Amino acid sequence: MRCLTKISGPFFYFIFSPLSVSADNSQWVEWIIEGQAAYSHADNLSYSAFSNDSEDDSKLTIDALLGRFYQISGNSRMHITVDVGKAQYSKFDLLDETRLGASIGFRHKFGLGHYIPYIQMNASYHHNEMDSDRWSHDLSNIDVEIGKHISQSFSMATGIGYNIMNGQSWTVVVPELSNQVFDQEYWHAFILADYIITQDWLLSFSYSYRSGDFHSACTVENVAKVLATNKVKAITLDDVFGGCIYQTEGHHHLYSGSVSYALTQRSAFNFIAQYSAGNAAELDYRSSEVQFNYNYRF
Amino acid sequence: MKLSCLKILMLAIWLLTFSLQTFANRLNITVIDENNKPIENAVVYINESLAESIEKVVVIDQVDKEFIPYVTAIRRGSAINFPNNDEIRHQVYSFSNSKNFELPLYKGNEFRPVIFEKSGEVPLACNIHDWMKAYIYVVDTDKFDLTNSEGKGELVNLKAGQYEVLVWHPEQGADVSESLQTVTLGNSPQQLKFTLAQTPKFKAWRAPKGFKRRGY
Repeated sequence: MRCLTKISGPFFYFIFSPLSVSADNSQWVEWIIEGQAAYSHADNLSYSAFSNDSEDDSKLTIDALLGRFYQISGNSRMHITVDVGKAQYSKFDLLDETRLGASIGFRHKFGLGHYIPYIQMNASYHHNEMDSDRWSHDLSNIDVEIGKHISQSFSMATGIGYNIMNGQSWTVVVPELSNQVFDQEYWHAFILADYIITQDWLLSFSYSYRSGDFHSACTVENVAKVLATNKVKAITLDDVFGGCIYQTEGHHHLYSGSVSYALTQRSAFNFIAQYSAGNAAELDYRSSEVQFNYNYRF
Repeated sequence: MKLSCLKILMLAIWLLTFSLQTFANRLNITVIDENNKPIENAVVYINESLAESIEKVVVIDQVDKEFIPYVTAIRRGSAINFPNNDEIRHQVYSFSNSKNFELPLYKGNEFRPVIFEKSGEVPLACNIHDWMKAYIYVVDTDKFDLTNSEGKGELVNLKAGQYEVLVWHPEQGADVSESLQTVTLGNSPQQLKFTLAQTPKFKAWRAPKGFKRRGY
């Protein structure tokens, strides 16, 4: 958390400093009110490295978000939002969660015109309260994105982000190892592209590279193999999948594709497919997820 | 003497009526796409080059984060006023060769009307709200019209003779030959039909593809 404070200080200064110099034109503008209902299914919810440990499940989620844009100048604006969400799993109901969070962002366009690139910085904080206390955690994120419209129907963006997760201390399993599995730090870099096929249909692709801490669950019979990698940073007993949950360090490639169909200017049905391939020490981690959601923006 | 004056007056009225019938004719124009659907907001006009018009001010409003109307046709030399009737500020600009201008972030009616001295297409946009788009088409004639939702427009007060009639629409295809027709106008109203290929222009204002992504 201290690390986040250290890096977020200059970030927030950068966000707020334009407010004081552009007071003439600055004003609060559009409200942001959004709602989303989603159904998703993951084939390796436990993110296990072992096929005999993999658990699949589906969940229903609803989210609501309230915020507002602040127009700083003709080229710059910021936003502040708060959001709340609820997720309910079909089988692993200890993972049912309530999320509460807030975000702030600053966006600057480098000039006048549709094809002018922009830079956007976001910071967010979320508390994820799960039915399993040991899985509950706080997640803080900072990311920077640059992007532009390449053509009337094609736009691209790329960026990097830094994430810090803080969780609970739980049962000590291996005395030499930490039991704070959900105290994690990782960074990610991403590239994404949007292609408007028609006014109603939008295709999106993204690739994200993630490096740093992550957690995975395994049953008792596979714990020895996990510990043998000598890369486990923290481990504790898991009440969700029944074995252990551990933290290790590695890298992941995350591929995502989505198709969005706009029902109106304000609502859309979206289908999203994601595939994650990760590696830590000698172990490979794979998972995929599909999601259908309905999104409404007031 | 009195009778003769009356005769002259009657003759004058008859001549005026006759001349209006002969010289002030009308061209009814229909613009459709390749699927026989009417094209709204097409500018139909006579190909001629008149001197700049006397000052005329037209309004393009900004309401609910849209330009109203979407297409405006004006005669060269006319001015356009761009009031912003939203509660939020907009930044109107165009990079057109016909008129390159910018109205920095504003609300209400802060700026003087903008005068359009060159003919041609002037696409408008807002730098804050990417989906806000509109078009001005500046013509060299006073004989022009915009098609309605049925794709119909009319050019009135035309004398008998031969005319080149042109049509322009923001989404028309690259083939300009289909936007020009020559017509010989006689003593009765005439019909003209244009079929334009369309290249759809996308507006960025669409429903969100996912939760929490913020943009302009």
